[in-house]
Amino acid sequence: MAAAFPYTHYACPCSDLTSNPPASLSKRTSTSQAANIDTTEDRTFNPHDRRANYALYPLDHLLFCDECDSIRCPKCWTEEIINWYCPTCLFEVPSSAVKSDGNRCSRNCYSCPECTAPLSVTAVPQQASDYLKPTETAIEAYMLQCGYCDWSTRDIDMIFNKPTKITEQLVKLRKARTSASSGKDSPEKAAKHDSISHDTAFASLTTFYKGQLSESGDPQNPFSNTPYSSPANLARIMNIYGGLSATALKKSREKPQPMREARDQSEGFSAYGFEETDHEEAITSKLRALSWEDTTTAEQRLSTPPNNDSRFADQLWPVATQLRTRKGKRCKTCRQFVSRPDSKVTHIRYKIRLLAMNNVPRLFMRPLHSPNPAPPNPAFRLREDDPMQAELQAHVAQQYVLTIRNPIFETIKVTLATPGTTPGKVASRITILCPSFPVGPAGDVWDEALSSSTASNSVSNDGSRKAAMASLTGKAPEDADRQPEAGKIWDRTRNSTSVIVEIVPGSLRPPPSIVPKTEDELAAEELDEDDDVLEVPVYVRAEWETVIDADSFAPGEKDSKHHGRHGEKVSKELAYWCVLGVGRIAA
Amino acid sequence: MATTSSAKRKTDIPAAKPPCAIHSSAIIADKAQITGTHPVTIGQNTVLHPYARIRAEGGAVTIGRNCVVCEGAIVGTASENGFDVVIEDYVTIETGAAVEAKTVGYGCEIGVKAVVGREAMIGQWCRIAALEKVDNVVEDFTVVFGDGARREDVALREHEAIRDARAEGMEKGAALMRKLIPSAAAKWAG
Repeated sequence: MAAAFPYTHYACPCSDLTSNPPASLSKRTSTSQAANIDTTEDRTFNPHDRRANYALYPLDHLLFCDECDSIRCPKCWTEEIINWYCPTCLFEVPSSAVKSDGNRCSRNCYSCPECTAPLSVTAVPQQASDYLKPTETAIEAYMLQCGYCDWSTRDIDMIFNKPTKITEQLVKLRKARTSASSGKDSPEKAAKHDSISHDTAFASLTTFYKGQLSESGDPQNPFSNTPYSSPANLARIMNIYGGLSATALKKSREKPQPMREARDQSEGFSAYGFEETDHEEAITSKLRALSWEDTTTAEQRLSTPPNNDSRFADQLWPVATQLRTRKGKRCKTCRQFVSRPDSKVTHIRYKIRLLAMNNVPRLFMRPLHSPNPAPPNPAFRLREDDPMQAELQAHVAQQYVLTIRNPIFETIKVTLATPGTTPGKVASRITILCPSFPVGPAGDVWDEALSSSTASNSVSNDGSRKAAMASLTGKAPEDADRQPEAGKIWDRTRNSTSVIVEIVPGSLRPPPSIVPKTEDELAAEELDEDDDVLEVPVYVRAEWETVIDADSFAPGEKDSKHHGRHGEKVSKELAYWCVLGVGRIAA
Repeated sequence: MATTSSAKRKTDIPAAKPPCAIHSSAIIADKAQITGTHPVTIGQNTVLHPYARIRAEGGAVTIGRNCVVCEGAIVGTASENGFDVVIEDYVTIETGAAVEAKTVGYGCEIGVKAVVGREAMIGQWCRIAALEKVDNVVEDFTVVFGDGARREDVALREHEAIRDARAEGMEKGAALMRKLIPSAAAKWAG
């Protein structure tokens, strides 16, 4: 993993490495729930599992659903487009317009086909002799111009009559130009060239396939005239009642009618012909005369449909700006929004954003006797001879301070569980000296700063000043010779508690044996990539009591038996696997 | 800070002043620097913004009419084995650009922080886009943009009106600068 040691990654409970896949309805009965919990707790999360990387995330990549009381990762939220907007003019485009007109800005936003910078509408400079003529009224002429590479629509001989409605004028000019070019050739010649323009090809393909669809008689959406027309609603209804509708079942039993593909030019099909024509010759002779820079790149050709067929730079059309979307994220289980940006395009605030780091206790680890200076982050290694992060020595016991910081406003009781030896090919021994302890509640920053004088909090009497000193110097001056004790908390501030973890890294080489090993055994002993990384799986369980308020009622909560009336205290629980990356073991 | 002090030093020590031939209508800002020993010629209506630098250590620097040299731009060669640099009329040299080319043609535009090296010969009506590095011959009407991509500006070549408009724009810009920048050309006279 690319992250710098030591790191902490959190496993989302949606992965079946950590638990059974969420089946919210089957979890209702208490017996199956108990069985579920048993299976999750029996198995140890293996960070070296091939699929573990897909379940582990840094805490800041995760969200938290407060209805389900659980961590949500990209796999267990669904994304929903809130709006489409143009990044240049910041104009919101309604979704119906996106469906009918495509995902490009239909106002005056265009970008340069040569260099992708935005184009601006400017007046075409007129020669003094022209516009000072008293006979005519001033001729208005505008063009699109690139501020970076000076490309302008003048390059392709295009001038607009008004500075607004550029898109309409462009379409008109395009039509005039394509009809003029096809009018030059005689009709039978054009047919021979197979040169149907992109737009006509697209139009005839659309009509052809629409016809095919109606012939095969398969309505695209059987619910289009019901209130369930939106896919989200439909998915929900289908989920609740399960299975397929009667008509859909009947359909699926019938043999589907095979659909024919387009096969001639009237249906929009065009094939590439190898025969040499005048047209091709003209192109090749033009290619000989021009330089590399005068031909278009693949990127330019794919930038916008009108450019798909343009071979030369002088055929490029301005590119209409593509729209962007703004997405909200919904919890897959309860479908509430876990992240929802403001729907106004110009606002960058979020209306709802339930971050995991505001709800999940954060773990971090550092060596107890840290080498001085602290090991640098490899991302900041500038030169070859800068010190690497120290590798761990096998069989040498190391002590680490594991700090749990509480982000919620209640005192939580944390229980840590870890296997005695790490899973995977290299078995390292791990001992958490104090696996169960309380962590004080979070408050605002001022509370923490003043807590030493106010002593409002009995657990943090030693004060945060000292803790700050400790974090600065690596250890508090007065307990430089303090020894870690089993069952004792190492350090504690208002909303964080530190305990000592003892780790004995295992050897990369298996112990030698007198009996010669079979080939299978030898193959099993061979280390894969990253098997030398010492990663400690830790199961964190946090319990706390909170006063229930009316709107925090959630049907999916684990402790459903505690549901009480408004104002009653309920106990809550949050449990998850996380992985502490300690370092690489030296070979 | 460093530029300020060196500017002050230049005014204090007139001996370091190169022989200058500055047209009376040119605007040389007080903080602009002209250093070196070779002759410096600055044409009519040319604007040197504050902190623009003309280096005549390596060779003579000639700047034509109606040019603009912006803040932080360096024109000329500084080292011993330098040569003469000629900037023709109606040339804009944007902020932070460095121009050491033997010639920069009529109507060129050197973009922000662009570097025009010693081997370069820039033709007429060229445009070197921002942050580009050029060190060879650039034909007339060429646009250098996007990491060395080149393109011929057909519109500019075909339409005289566009060229006229650009020149006129520069003249108007110079007229505005005359109001905004107090000229200290007298400092360099003689």
